[in-house]
This record gives sequence, C-alpha cells and structure tokens, in this order.
Amino acid sequence: MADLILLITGLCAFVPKKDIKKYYENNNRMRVLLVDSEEPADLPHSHDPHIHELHIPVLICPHASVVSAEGYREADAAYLDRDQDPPRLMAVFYLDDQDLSIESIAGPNDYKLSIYGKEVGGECPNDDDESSFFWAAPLDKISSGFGNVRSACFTPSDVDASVISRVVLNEGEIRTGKRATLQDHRIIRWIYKVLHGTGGNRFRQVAADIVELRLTLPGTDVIFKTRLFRSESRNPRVREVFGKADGNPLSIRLKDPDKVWIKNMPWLDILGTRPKDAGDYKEDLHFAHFYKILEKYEDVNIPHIYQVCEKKDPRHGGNPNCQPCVAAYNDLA
Amino acid sequence: MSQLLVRITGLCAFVPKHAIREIPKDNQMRLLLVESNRPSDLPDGHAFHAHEPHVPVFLCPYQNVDQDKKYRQPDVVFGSTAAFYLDDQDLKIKNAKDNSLEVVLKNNAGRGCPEVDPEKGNITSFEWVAPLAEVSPGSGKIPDSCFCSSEVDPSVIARVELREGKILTEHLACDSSDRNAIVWEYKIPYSLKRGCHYQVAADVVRFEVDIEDSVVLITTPLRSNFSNVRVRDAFHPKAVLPIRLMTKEADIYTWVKNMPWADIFGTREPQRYEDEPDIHFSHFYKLSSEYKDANVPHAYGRCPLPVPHLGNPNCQPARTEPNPNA
Repeated sequence: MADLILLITGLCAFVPKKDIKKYYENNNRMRVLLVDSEEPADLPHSHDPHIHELHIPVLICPHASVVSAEGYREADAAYLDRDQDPPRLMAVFYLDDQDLSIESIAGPNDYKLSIYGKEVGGECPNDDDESSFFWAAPLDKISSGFGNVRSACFTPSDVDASVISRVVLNEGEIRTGKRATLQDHRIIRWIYKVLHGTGGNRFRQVAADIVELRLTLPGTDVIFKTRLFRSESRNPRVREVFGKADGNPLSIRLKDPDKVWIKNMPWLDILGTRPKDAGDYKEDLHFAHFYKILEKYEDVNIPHIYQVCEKKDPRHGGNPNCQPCVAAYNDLA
Repeated sequence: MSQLLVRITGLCAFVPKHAIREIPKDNQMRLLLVESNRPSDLPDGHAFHAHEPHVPVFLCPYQNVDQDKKYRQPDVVFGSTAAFYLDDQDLKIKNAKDNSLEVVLKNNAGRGCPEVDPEKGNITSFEWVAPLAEVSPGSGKIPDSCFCSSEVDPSVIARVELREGKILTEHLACDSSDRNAIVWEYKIPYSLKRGCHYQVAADVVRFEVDIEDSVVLITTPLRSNFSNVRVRDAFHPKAVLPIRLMTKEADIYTWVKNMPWADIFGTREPQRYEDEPDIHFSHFYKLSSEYKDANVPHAYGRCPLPVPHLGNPNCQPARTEPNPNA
C-alpha cells in the first residue's frame, strides 16, 4: 500500500460537491481550482504592483520518486530543496491548462472524500482542532454570501480563463496541513476586508495556508493523470509535452513519493529563494485573484493581519505559503 | 581548442574600462546585472509594469557541468539546461588575462538600419547595444560604488568580469515575424513627445573566449547580505564556489540572463514589446550617477533583416560610458 500525502497551497480554491457540514464522511468530492494570476485582480490600480507577480501551477515531488518509463511524463524542471535535511532534489511538473486526478480505487464519478474535523469559530484555535479542514478560508463568509463559482469553471474543455489548472479530489481525507503563521510560528488571526478598509463587522478567522489530502492507495506507485482542458495551453512547454502525445492525456508515475505538493505561487516561492522574512505581509493582496472565479461579488475582501494568537503552529511548510480558500459547494464540482 | 560562448541578455549593463572606439582590442568590461526588486523611477500609474522580479542566472548544458562535489552544482535543472543562481555574486573566468578583450566594431553601427547582407554587414557590431548616454543624456556615468570589492551598490544584483576574449552583438531585437529588426524610440513611457534617440538594438550579446578541455568559473559574494536564501545557504561557510565546465571536445554554449523566471524557463510567450514599451529598461537608471528622464524603448519602425530567432524571449541590455574600475 502507498500512503500519499498531497499538500496544497497558494491560489487554490476548494469547491466541494456537497455541503461539507453535512457530507463529511466518505461521501463528498472536491474540485480544486487553481486561479489565474496573469490578468490583474480587481484591486485599486495604485496597488497593482503587488498583485502582478505571476503564480505558476505546479506539482512538486521528490525527483527520486519519478518513474522514468515510456508513456509517462518526465519532470519539466528539478531543483535542490535545501529546507529538507539532507537537501533533496525535487521534480517540478507544469500544470498550466490541465486537469489533474489521482488514479485510485474510487472511480472518477465516486464521492468518497472525507472532511476532517469540526467547524471552527472566529477565535484563536484550541488544541483539539488544529487539523480541522474548516480552517480553510470560507469565501462565502468572507464575501458576504457571494461564494458561488461560475459554472464555466467546471466545463470539460475551454474552461473559464480565470482557471489555470484543476485538481479532482474524490477519495481520502482532507484536512488543514498548517495554519498561516508569522515567521516566529505564532498563528495569525485574519480580518477580511477591502484593502486597508476601516470599520465594519468583518469576518475574522485563523486560516489554513496548507491543505492536506491523506490517501492510501494499493501498490507502491501513485499515478497522476493529466489532461489538457484547453485546446492550446498558454505555456509553450506544456504545448510541447502534450504535442508529442498528440494532445492525449499523460500520466505521472511516482514510486513511494512520500509527500507531493500542488502549488500555485510565484517561482521565487516555489524554489524557496525569497527570504522568508519577506513573507510577513500585513495583508495578502494576491487573495484578490479568487474573486475572478465567482459568479458575483460586492467587495474584494482580502486577508489583513488582525491579531496574533499566542498559540504557535510549529509545523514547517518548507516555503512561504499563501492561503487557499473554500468556495460554496457546487454540484458541478 | 574549444570556445566558451556566453550569450548575455536582460537587465545587463556593459561597462567598458576604456572607450571602445579608442581601445577596441585591449579592453575589458564589467557586466552589471541590475537589481529589480525595488521599483524603478517611472511615472505614477506605470510602476506596476516594472515589478516582476528579474533573476540573475548562469545557464549551461547540464552535460558540461563537472559533477565532482568539489565544484558547485546546479541550483535548478530544466530540460538539458543547468541553472546557477548569481544573486549577490561576482562571476569570473579563472586565470583570464586582464585587458585582453576585443570589442567587435563595424562601420555605421548603432544608428539607422543594419546592412542587410550579413557577409559585408555590420549586424555583429557591439555598438548595437543601446548606449545609456544617448538614450537618456547624462545617464551613462556609473558610480564607483558599483565596482567595490564588497558591499557593492544595491542597484547591482550580480557582476560578470569580461577580461579576455571577444564581444559582439549576437542578435537584434526583432518583431514577432522574426524578419524585421525593430527601430526603437527611447522616451518617457507612453509620452506623446518625440524621443531623443532612435536605433535598432541588440537583445543578445555574445562573449566568446578560447578554452582548453575545461574552464573554471569562479563565483564569490559581492556583499555580506544575500537576497537569495539558497545562495546564502550555498556560500555558508565558503567564500568561493567554482563551477567547472568540461568541453567534451566541442564549444560550450552558455547564457547569462537577468529576467523573470517565466522567461528563463520559457513557460510563457515572449513579450516582444511591439505594442507596449519595454518598461523594465527603466531599472537601468538605478545604476546611473545622474539622469534626467527614465527613457525606455518604444517600438517605432522596422528594418528588413533576416536573422534567426534564438528560441527565448530576450530583452535589450545597455552599455554605459567607460569606467577605469570596470
């Protein structure tokens, strides 16, 4: 049996198929929408400088686990991750304009995903709920009831331009991998409001910055299937890789991969070259990109640091992470 | 005998030691890779264009890298290419002779359209590299703080010593068809006023030097604080990291680039600046002792020119006035 831990961080919106408060035990499914960052987000123009750093959708895994065999994808890039002891060579696969799914026991239309943990409140966390999935920032509460994702984001092909990549999760257990902290590991309590806005009874919550899927698979290999959902990818390298396969789906085969990451963030953060102390932002402007996938919204509320809890989350994510979100459940997911 | 060929593109400024027309053969240059994390001097409303971080890297074929652990190993590998971070570092060729650089100069280069026939033409002249002194009068002088042995001016993210060999224009910035070199007009971004300088511009410069069966490149820190965490880790506690390249009985084609990762990896379509000015060029003025306007290139016209595309998005480097410390 292979135990897979899939860690997801960055501009990733989780869309459950069913209400996660009612369907949390082996009977749900999610579509993770990795949001485009090439187009500017809906923010006041003078603040655009921060929003324009391109986020890259990638799958990252230990290079040694990549099975190199005919019919399987080779890594697009590799880098030495010095956050691991000893440093470890990691493989990078581009996910631009692709659907990614895990070949598992469950069929593609099964709903066997479990949601870990109970609902959390707006205060600092307790010891017994640190891994609850409900720490993932809920877009409908943040945006005053406007958490519905546009149906064009779920079409099989020619997907809405706001989506750069998608991941299907239909088996295993999903939970919070880590909550957003300062560099000293103290957990941040966020307030979601328009950029530098004042007043108002705004939504406040501690937020997951890494979401984790745990899954046990038969055998020792994990196979990820990738298929293009646009006729032509914006990434020339993706066009080249799929062009050689005449546009047919391609698989990534990993042997005992341990942990696998899905990230949608700037290259400097993927490669871990940006100093970590640059990450203690007072507000997370990139969050504004999430509003591109919504049917409608009023205010572009984004996370601002509101309070720092005494409690720490010592788990080290290995890279600067930015918080994903959860959209309203949608039968199309 | 083989050659090490280094193609240079992006936010890179060439500073000759001597005036290139006066001393074209026994010269040398310091290449200054410009920092891009801080905003450049642009009018309000356009600053956001300039903020994509440019990354200074040395690229070479992975197969040429000596994998002996006593030499520096690549930071990133993609396809058959190895990448080494250059943030906050000096790069030089070990045992290169001083004052032994030939600057390729041809007649009538640096103005108007190049001559079309490559045999007799002047498209390889180094003078196609955009001269800051003419692009924005007064901006060509570089302060001595950019040439210190340590704690180098913060406008410089990396430096490369070019002491022995030959330097020339490899490629001129072309439009999407790759058949027409663009004539650039240098002016304040989006200004309706006429620019002060017009020229076809190099977007790739080639440096070449003869080598034996291998060449050692030396990388050393140019300041005590590193902006790249991985570089800091790599140099701790070492002060010098050598990269050894083996020729395998053929020339070694390498790159020095200072551009966004997406362009280094080639994961997005090239931005050719046919419709929009090359705003990133404004970072060059951080190097200047003084300048009046932060003029940047706007596409103005075309010259017919059959030159092959080099397969990567490139943006134009610049050259400055001589500095004896280069």
